[in-house]
Amino acid sequence: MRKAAFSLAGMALLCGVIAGMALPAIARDVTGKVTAVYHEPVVVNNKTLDKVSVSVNNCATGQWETFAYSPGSVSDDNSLGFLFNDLANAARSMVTKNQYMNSVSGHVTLAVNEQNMIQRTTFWGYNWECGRDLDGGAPMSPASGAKPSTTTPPTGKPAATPNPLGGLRKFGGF
Amino acid sequence: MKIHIQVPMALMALAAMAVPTFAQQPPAHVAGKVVAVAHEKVNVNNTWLDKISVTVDNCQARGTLQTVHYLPATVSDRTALGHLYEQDLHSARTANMERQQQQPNGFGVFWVDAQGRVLRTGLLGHPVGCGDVPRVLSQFK
Repeated sequence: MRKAAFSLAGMALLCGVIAGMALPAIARDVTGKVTAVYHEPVVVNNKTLDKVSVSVNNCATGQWETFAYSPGSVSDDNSLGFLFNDLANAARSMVTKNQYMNSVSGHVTLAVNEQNMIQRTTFWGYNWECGRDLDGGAPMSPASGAKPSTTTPPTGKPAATPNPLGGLRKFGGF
Repeated sequence: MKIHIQVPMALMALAAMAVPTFAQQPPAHVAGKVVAVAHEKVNVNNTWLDKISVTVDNCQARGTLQTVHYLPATVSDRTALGHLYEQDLHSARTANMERQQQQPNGFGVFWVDAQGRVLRTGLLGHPVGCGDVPRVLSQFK
């Protein structure tokens, strides 16, 4: 009996160690409008690499925060190049709202670690603001579990605090 | 006579100390609406390279155009310079609605060295304009 308990404990410990090795530690999720994207060449181990950073207007705090990707090479052949272009497009996307038609775009959720390095980038679509579907959807809460993946459209719930103003409905639904 | 020699030497030593201090100063910046992007071929060490220049309507003196440039390299889908060229051009083409709706767009912040070479590019989004430049700069302090 005791031996079995030890085996179970050992298995659990092993699983924990493997999970810890496989998944980089994500300290927090930050959701907000992309406000700026930066590029700068940096030298790492005598190699000049591209460092891409992004500022978001944090929905939860209303403050700008800036995070960075691990330096790499910006190219059409890799994800850093695609992220750079897509984040720049998100930054330029309009945020205009009125009571007849909402128009919000350019929001992202960034999963970042303790060093403010980005581990996961989620692009939200049209009329999604602060993890909330303004086009009639129910507010999302972080407690609901699944997070949207980086490659599929977001169907889960974001980690950011929902917009305290409540959802502006399309065509006049305050 | 000995004093006359020592004073210039002391001044030179002070100057030598001052130069690295000056070099370590944070880079200057040029911010404004991107209005034009230029490409030209330049010959560097017998190699033809692409030189990209960006002109902005300067935030510090609206209506005044100022141009900065990147270190010459190769414009390609596979290089950062190629992507920066495309994105700067995109910023230039992006409509700036600040006069109509008080909502700027297509602005940039360029950190530059003493020769006007771009060290860092900041592509600003909507609705981020000249009034937000201090906030942009503070992100890198």
